Parts: sequence; C-alpha cells; structure tokens
Amino acid sequence: MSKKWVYIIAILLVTCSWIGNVWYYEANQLGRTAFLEHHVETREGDGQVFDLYYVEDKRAAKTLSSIHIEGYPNLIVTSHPQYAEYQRQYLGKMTVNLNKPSVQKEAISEPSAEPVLVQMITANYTDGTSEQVDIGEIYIWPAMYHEGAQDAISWTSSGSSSDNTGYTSAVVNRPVELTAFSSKLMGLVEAGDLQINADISGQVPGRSYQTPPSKAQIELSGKPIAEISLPLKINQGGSIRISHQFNMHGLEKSMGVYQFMLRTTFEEDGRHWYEDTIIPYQVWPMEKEMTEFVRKGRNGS
Amino acid sequence: MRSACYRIVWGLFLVLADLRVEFVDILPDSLGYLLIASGLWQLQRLNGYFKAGHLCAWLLLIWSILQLFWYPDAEIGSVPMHSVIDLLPHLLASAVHIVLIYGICRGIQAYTAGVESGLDQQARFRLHMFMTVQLLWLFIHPFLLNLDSNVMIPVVFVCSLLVMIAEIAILLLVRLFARQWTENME
Repeated sequence: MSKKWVYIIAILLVTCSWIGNVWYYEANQLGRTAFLEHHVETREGDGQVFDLYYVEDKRAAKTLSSIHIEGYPNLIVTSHPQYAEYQRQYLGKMTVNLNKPSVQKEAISEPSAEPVLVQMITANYTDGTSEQVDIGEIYIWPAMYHEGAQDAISWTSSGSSSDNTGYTSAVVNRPVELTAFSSKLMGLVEAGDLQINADISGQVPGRSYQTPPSKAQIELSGKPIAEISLPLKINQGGSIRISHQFNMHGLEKSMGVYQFMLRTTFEEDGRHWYEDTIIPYQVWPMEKEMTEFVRKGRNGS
Repeated sequence: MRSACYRIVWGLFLVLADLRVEFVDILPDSLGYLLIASGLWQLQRLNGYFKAGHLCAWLLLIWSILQLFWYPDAEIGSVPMHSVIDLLPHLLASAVHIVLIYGICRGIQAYTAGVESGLDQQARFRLHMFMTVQLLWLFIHPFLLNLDSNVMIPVVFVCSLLVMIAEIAILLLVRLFARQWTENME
C-alpha cells in the first residue's frame, strides 16, 4: 500500500473519530435543567432542611440560580451547583430551609393536621427567566408543640452508612404507650423499597456521641414496624431503636430523592404526641445511571 | 536566506513553548507565527511548498490574535470542550498548522533533493513522523469529550510528549537547513 493511501485512511479515521465523538457528545446533552423526582417529607420550624437535586449540562449557558416555593417567602436556599461531577453533567443540590418560626408553647395543634403538599416550584435561571417545574412531592408538616413530649423520650444516638442503612435510638424516661407509626410516604415501606425495623426495649442504646457507630450497630435489626402489634406499653428505662435500609433498584428509583419522616405517636395520660425520625436516602448516581437519565430526559423533553 | 531560516526556527520555538507569568503567555503564539511568516516570505521564492507554508503562517497568525479575544480564558493550544462551535475553529487551526509544517518539510525536501548531506531524506522522515504523531493526536483528541478524564490523562500526556518531540524534530530540521545554507549554498 502506498504512503498516499495510508494517509488517506488515517485522515478518514480521524474524521470518523471526530464525527462519532461529537455526535455521541451531543446525543448525551440534556439541553435543560432537570430536577430529579423528589419524595420528601419534612416539617416546618426547628431548622429542618431538605435537599432538592437537579441535573445540568456542564456546557449549559443557562443554569439554575435560585428557587421559590409558593407560601414560603422567607425560605433560605444554599446552592451547591456542582455537588457531583459527571462526564458531561453536574448534579446540583439546593438545601432548603423553609425558615418558618417554631410554634410557641401556647399554640397547640392537633397531630391530625394535614401537611402541605408541594409539587411545583418556581425555578429562576441565570439569564433572568423563570418557570414552574415539577419536582415530585414534598409534604411539609406544620410545626407543632406538644406539652406531653417534654422529656419523655431522649434520643441518644444515630448513624448511617453509605449503603443507605442507618439507625436512631432513644431511651424512655417515663412510662409511655406507643400507639402508631405513620408517614405520608408509607407506600415506600409497603413496596419494599424501604425496610424499617423497630427494636423496642431490646438493647439499651449507648449515650455516646463521640465515637462513630460500627457497621454492626447500623445494621437492620428488630421487627418490621408493620409487624409490631400496637399499642405497645414501654416502661421507664426501656429503649427504642429504629433501623432502616433502602432497597432502590432500577433507574427510576435510584435517581429519585427520598426523605422519609417516620412519625411515632405516643400516648401518655390520655394525651397524644409524637416524635419524628428523618430517614434520608443519599442520591449518588453512577455515571451509567446519569447517562441513562439524560437520555430519558432528552426523550421526555 | 539563512536569517529567514533562523526566524522560522525561533517562530516554531515560540509556538511550541508556553511560558506563563500569572496566566499571561509571555511567549505568544502570534509572535511565533509572525516570525515564521516573515521567514517563509523570503523562502517562498524557492518553491511552491514554502509558498503554501507562508499562506498558512499568515492564517495562523490571524487565528492566534483572534483567539486572544474569543477565548481569553482558554489555555492557548488547548481545546475548550464546550460545543462543536467552539471545537471547529481549533480543529481547523490544527489542520492549517499541519499544512504549515508539511509546506516547510516538503519545501526543504524539494530544495535539497540530491544534495549529499541527505537533508532531503531527513526532511521526508521527520515529516512522516510529524504527520503520524499529529494524526494520532487528532484521532485521540475528540475522545476527551466522552471518556473519563482519569482514563484520558495518561493518554493525553503521552500524546502531548510525542507531539512535542515531533515539533522539536522539525525545528531542528530547519536549523540544519539554515546551517547547510551557510556552508554550501551561499
């Protein structure tokens, strides 16, 4: 083969390399800001925060600058636009503090009050435009104060692992009756996407906040909450350990954002009150999952 | 003619070397292409290859000046991977640079054909080496868009090293041509 033909073939290969790579690169651009699907339960007051995640192309000329949630004019948003970096996209995160004051002691509400459901938010972009975007479902419970809660339960320790398992434990300071476990996102538990077990009056939880919990401490233990027969009386000195494990398989679930709030209702001297346990799912998609998300996002746009 | 060759040598050196003081390249490519263009302006009378190289040097001079305004934040010589619109001018500039080197090498080869020193053979060999390395680099470069940077960094490092060696080989070839001119042709 003459050198002329070698060069011609080499130039053809270079051309194919550029055309192929540029085509593949363009085919994997999202072309817009896309929010992940959120299933979040939170409450006002007490400095509670939740995270909103979104995906943007690295080369995007127009990026998300801020958000607005109707009914929460004072919300404080901390932006992390490059929370995680991928080959062609960034996973951004906005930590939202609703900034609603905690309810004063005088204002006592009933535990049966319904949460506010937020499904659309206003996204403001760097080019000055804004739009209403669907972010999934965010249940916001009103802040409540219950006199009965004072000192009956002491939360002692909690821990979580990168494989989305975790636990929270508490000691009971005076006799109480556990009457219910509830959540707006209980469907996750029923579908098997989230396992929540409770170990009541089992091991006495440690009180140390100094040392990180061991793997064995974090692991799921006790009985699934659905199998615990309620009401259940817990004596003074008893303990409650709530452990959880997320089982998010498949693109739609692993690219979702979950914050489960387990509401444990207690009864004492005829008064009902509850304690909330926040169970977050750490969204951390792999490169392959992000690529698939972008392709689906392009088709859906 | 000898001084014209040395201007090309210095020009190639300035294009190859990036000496930065607080992000400012104190050896700008535009100055390098200006020297090459001025050297080839004198050599273009010798044959058509030098003439083609001379035209390319002017095009690259214009490009390197425009680049200062279009991509003030971009590293000179690197390709900002934002969009095809950003990539195409860089790709075109690389192609014109290859034609410039082709013009210089083929010009030397044609002018020194049959001379005892064997400079024509050296010019031929170094041109093939340069073309091979450049084509390899151009083949690999677009993969930066899609492959993980951890995978690409060692590949880019090796390719950059090869490109540098090939560019130095061309620079030394022009220097040899200048010396031979001094010894035999003037």
